[in-house]
Amino acid sequence: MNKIINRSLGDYIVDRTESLNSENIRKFFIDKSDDKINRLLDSSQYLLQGSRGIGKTMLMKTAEISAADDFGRDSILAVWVSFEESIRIERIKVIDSEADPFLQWTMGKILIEVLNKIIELKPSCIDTLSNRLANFFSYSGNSKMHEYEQYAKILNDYIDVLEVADIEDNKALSKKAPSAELVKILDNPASFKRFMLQLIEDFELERIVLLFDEAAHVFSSSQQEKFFTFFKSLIHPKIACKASVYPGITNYGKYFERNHDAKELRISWSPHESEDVTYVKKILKKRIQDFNIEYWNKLTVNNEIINTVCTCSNGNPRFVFHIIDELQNTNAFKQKSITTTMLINCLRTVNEAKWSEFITLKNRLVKYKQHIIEAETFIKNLVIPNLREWNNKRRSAGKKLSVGFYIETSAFEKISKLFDILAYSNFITVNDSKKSMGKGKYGYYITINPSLLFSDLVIRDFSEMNNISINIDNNQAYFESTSEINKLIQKLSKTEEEYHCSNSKCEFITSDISFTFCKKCGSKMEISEQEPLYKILRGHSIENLNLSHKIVSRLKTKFNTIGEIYDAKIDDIRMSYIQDVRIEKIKNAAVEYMAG
Amino acid sequence: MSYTKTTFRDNILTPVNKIQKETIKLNDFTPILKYLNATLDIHHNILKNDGDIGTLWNELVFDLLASIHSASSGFYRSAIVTLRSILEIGTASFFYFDHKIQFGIFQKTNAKADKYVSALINDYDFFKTKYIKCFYEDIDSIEKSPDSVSIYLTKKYGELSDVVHGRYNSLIKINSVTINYSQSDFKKYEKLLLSTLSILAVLYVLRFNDFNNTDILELANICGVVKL
Repeated sequence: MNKIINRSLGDYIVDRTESLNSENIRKFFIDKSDDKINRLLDSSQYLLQGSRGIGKTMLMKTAEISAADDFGRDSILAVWVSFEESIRIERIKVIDSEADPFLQWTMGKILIEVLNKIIELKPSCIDTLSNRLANFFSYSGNSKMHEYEQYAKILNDYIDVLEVADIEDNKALSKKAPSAELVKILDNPASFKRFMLQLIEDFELERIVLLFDEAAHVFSSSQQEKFFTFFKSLIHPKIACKASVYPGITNYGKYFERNHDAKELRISWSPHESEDVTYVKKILKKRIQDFNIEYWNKLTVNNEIINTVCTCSNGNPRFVFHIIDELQNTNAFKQKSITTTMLINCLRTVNEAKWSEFITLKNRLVKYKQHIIEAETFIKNLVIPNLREWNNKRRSAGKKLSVGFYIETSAFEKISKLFDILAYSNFITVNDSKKSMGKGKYGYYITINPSLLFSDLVIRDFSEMNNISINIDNNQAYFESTSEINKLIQKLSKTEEEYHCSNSKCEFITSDISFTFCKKCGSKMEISEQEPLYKILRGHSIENLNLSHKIVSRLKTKFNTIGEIYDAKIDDIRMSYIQDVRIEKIKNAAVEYMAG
Repeated sequence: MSYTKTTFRDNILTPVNKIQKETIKLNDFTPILKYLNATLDIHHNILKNDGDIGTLWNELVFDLLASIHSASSGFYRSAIVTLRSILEIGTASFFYFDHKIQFGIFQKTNAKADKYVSALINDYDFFKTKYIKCFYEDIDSIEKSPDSVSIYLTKKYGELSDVVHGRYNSLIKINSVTINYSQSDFKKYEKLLLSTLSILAVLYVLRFNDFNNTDILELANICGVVKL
């Protein structure tokens, strides 16, 4: 998004921060004054935790820009690293203990971003000035820049090889590496760390801050484990690592301890904190006013409308942009005023789209497949109808209303993945602290996304949000013994990891991890291999891409699967009606689909 | 090493070095170096255009590096004193560019360096609007107000002369002779440095009609007397 000639609202409320250039990130970033930018640039290790679309990338990119602006004074090199393309590495099989392609790619990716950044930050006049001063003083310093520029060139090629070259397995990797020196650096985390420390010394940096984005979501479970072990190995006073993670669904592995190896930095938001609601208002105001001040005036002429929109965001800028998009789609901004009915209808459409997107997650997060299917039913058929009925009764009796429910700790823990995936998708917020539910029982309080409450008439208008309570007496509670919860626990307990006998003629399967050898034939037990996610997603039809029907139908004349689009060069996609702008949109859609 | 060498090293050079390290640590040198380079671009171009006048700019560049070095070493007033010298040599160079006989006399007879900024403006209407119009007709469209260039020159010269002559409020070690890093004094110096280089850049751009170098134009715009 650079100079906007034909102005479109979509250019101002883009879904993903990755689509914004630095100028627009600077312009659109709203500081919540909660010191997060400073934390992201300090010398500690952090896990930046928040649900999808809540603004983690925006924060990280802003931190990177802020460090670049102050680099001349502070000498802090902050580098944003996205692992979106990591899924390509899954195609390379690991057949021996030689180079691990995932670690090679991860370290290579980090290194290339660091080198590109240090090269980019060099002021354009420095070389000329240095030569002139060297002439005046008959003395020249010892610049290492050239050496690092050479590394950057060969690294780029190597990463390309890792991402797209025809490599069957990791044994073939060493033949493809462009230089022995590079192989040594990327050989293992220790040598990589030594190289980084040397770079810090050569450039006399205060420190390097690595901002790892999409570290958890994009990686497979085993990759996540490797990544966090590697993350831990980088800890040093001069190297600070921050990784964006999603609540609940990240696998840290056996060796990484949250709160010990990295502190948690949570992006939290509450619809009951006026400051938090104002924060979302400021985000919208900046963007919408920039596009068209009349739109903002329409949204704010009735406080109820803007407050409801901001509350229904649940602190998620991406979601609130979808609400605004839908208001425009339904011509709400062309009407005399925006009514509550119009808004509620938009919320329903946006929520349905969110549920459809949620279901597609079962294609990516295979481990959560059953939980995803049950989660939708749980919320739509049990929680929401119960809550609506509960509030109807309490409304008539003039009592406090509810926006969530309690769940007994033991029940929560047995189906925790279900709540994890709902929290990840921003349908619910889980309050981590155990609360007393009476009769010696404890549980967690789960808040429902306000947009679901408004669209399903659990809450009827904005003023009711000031009349809610999270006290146990004013809320419903679910226990392990609650029949629907019990049934859910039974269903979901069958979806554990499976181990099967390595003897192809033996059919023994168990979920009991203690069986190292098959009890039937004595052969070794192994975990049931799932097809790599990379392969699964590549095989999906291009109809799954977030593109218009017109574009998809034209693409179908040449491509069938998402993998074909993902691999295609720019000119391969070019055809009538599909030129540069649409090609970029198509490639982004494929990358986003693969990255999730 | 002799006592005197050791004393000189340990009690002058070493503490100065400490101040320099602190100056580097606590400041962003990007604007200073960028506009130093832009000034060196002017130096390079003037040398190409007119070797004689270019010799004055050699001296100016030398003074400029000395000034920056003094400021980074904690000698703020000396650094500012040198800025006046830079302004004087710079303005004289533009005067002599158009007055070759006077330059010849200055050079060959080692004449008094009496082409002070104030004298140039009072006696020759130096860089007043009518003066500029002789080589840049469109000055009306870019200057902030009539004679804004010469007015600024006068003001800047006066400001720097106050420091040279020791006007009371410009003195910085009245209370004690403690030589250390001072953030406020360094920032004050930086502002004066950039504004001095800026007005010289304005004179250069207008006299030589060189609108091609974006860094020089950016430097010239700092003082705000013209909009380039």
